[in-house]
Amino acid sequence: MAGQYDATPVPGESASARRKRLSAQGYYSTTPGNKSPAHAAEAGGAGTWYDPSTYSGQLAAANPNVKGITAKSSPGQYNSLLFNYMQGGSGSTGSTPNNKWTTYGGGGGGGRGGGGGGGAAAPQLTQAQLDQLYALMRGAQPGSQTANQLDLPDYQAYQGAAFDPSMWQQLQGNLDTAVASDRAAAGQAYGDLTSYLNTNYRNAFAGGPQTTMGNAPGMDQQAMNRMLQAQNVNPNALGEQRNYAGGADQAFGNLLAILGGNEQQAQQNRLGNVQMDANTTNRALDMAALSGKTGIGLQQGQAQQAWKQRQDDQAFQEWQNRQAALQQEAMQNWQRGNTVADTNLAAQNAWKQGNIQDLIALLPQLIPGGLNFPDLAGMGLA
Amino acid sequence: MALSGYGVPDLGAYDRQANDLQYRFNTDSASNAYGRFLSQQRGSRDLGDLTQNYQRGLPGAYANFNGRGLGGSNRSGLQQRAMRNYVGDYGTQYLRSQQDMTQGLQQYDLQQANNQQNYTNQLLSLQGQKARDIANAALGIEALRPYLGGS
Repeated sequence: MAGQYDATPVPGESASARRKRLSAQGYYSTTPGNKSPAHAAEAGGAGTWYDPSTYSGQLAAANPNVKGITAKSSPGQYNSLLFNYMQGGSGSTGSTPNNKWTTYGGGGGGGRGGGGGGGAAAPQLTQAQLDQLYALMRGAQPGSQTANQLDLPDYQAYQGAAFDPSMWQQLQGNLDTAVASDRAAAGQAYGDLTSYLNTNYRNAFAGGPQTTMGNAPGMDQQAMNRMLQAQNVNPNALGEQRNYAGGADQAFGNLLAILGGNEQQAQQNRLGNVQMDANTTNRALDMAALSGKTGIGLQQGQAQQAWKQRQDDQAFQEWQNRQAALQQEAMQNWQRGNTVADTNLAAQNAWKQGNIQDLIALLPQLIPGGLNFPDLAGMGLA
Repeated sequence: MALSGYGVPDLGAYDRQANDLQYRFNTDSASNAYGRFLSQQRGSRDLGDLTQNYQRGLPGAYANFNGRGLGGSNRSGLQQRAMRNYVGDYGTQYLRSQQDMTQGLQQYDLQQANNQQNYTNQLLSLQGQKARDIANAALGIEALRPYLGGS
């Protein structure tokens, strides 16, 4: 980092004097292969100058463009090459002179080959600059990302068609109509029969005997009486015979009365049978209606059961879908939250690490100038 | 039961049966009426013959008593009793024959009444069967039971 050490040439200072000065600051050893005191201080005396744990090793690592520096380089080579690089000489990879010296506003540098040319005064970091730098560093603190919650659209349940019983209702209606029509036809038939029985019934035995001694062919009783009286015979002489004849007529009349009564009873039985038949037919129609409605009801029930089963299956499938969506949503939110937290933590760590490195790099300037770090706790470093 | 296909009542069959009954009743009635006529004719002829014989024998009976001086204005008790028996016997025979004829005619009348009543009863029965078939044909809805879920 520019200006991070006092290798700035001092005007009028000779090269040997600068090496002595720098050696006194502990940045390199005047004796190749030996550790400088600074090396020993940085790495606890365990590392070499190019050891990454040493400050010189970090410089070398931080300035990879310095040509010629390798792990095999001797401290003298390293110093020379680094010096040339910082002077913008052949050690730089670019043609533009390195401006690390001028960063701190130092005076014009002497020619590296001039030997005796006067260099600018070594840049010195002030406390104000350090505070300003600190403010910049703190301002560069990375912000925290926020994990937005995933809210998937609510699951819209499939709206299946409701069970439609209209077909069975139509069947029930048709059955009712058919039964009512049949009942009317049966009632009409029995009504017609009753009317027919009442209209066409004739009791052939009613009215008594058609032929009796009273209207028998031949002489009637008056003529017979006249004939008997003409012959001086008392008409009562035939009374016994007339009684026989009257008894026979009476017996025949009784027979007809019995037969007529029997027929009248038969007629009443017929009328009663008509009513019973009508009732039987109506009961049969009732059973037919009940049977038909039961059959239709069973069919409707089976269909409704099948529909209900499909609805339950569909509801279960939708429940599974909803659960899967909720799990996916929760998983996505969990993953995103972890990712954001990891990112925030990494950014914070990187920021802190960078700040620490920068502050460490400033140490060479802080120590000689007596500068103090600002509030490290404010940056989360302490 | 006169049913055609699909349980529809064959009403024509009932009319044919009714016509057959009517035909049989008419022939039976005609035969019975003719038999009654013959019976009455025979009875009337018997009565006529009986009266004729009576009337033809009556003068002889009186003549028999007159020849013996038992007739005329001096009717004897014997003649009166004999003639009363004669006439009474005739009257009795006449009444018996007339009663026999009457009872014979009553048998025809009874037969006709039976024919009439049988015809009426059979006709009413046939009409009742016809009405029941019409009514029960309405129960053809039963045929739809398999299509309505029944067995």
